Amino acid sequence: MSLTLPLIIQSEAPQKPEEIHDFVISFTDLLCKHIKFLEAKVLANIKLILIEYCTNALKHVANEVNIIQAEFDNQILQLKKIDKAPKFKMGNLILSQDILRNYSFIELDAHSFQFVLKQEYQQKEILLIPEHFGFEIVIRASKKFTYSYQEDTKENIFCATLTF
Amino acid sequence: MKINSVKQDNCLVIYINENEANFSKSDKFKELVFQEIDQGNLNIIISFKEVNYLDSSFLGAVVAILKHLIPLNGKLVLTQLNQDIKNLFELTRLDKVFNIEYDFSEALNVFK
Repeated sequence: MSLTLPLIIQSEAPQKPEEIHDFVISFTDLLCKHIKFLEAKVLANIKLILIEYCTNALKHVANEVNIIQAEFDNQILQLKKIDKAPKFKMGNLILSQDILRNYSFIELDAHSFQFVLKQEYQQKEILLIPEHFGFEIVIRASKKFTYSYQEDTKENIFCATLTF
Repeated sequence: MKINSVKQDNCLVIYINENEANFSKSDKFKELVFQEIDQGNLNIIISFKEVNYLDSSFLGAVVAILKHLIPLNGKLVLTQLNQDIKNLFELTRLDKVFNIEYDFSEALNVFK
């Protein structure tokens, strides 16, 4: 892992599922070393986001290099997952009613959108609870969760923003 | 996927003997528990004592198990969750859906 100032921590995502836990512990230990006032609840959310980024990398983009990056500045922490897989398309998810039961998208521009939670109703009917929670966990654990595609570098960037 | 199933009182206790409950094990876990349910074990306790963390795929498998049990009038209790796993259930609001007992003896009491 590398460290520069202002605080940027960057690392390649784990290559194997059994490496996820140690990766998350190492990453959060390094964050805690430099951000002294992290509350337990915030730290818990950071861990959950990192787990989902690693899971996503191994499950869906295993043939590409996946970078996990934390940027901290001015009381804002951005956790990013960056890869060079083909551009992520909303349409792939829109086809899945199960995935989209709890959240949807706001298009920000031609190459970016924000994930947003829908009204919480799922607990009233257990059989309607979705079985896919990856993006939902990141949405709930952050203040803002966005996707953008950088045409110049051909990078997918998922970014979860947490404020302190 | 390593689990250990033990009949205790009038329920089946399933111990997850893995430190990492993630996508590489979730399908097999679901399959193994579905087999137990289909053999007539409708009162189930799942112990997470050995588990360090749960990812979204494994969480989905646990939800699928609950959804499989409900039409059969079965009951599922989750127990011995560490703080990180507890946080995950709270964050997703699934703590309001599942019967979660942090103490194992309390989980057993649910079926008495």
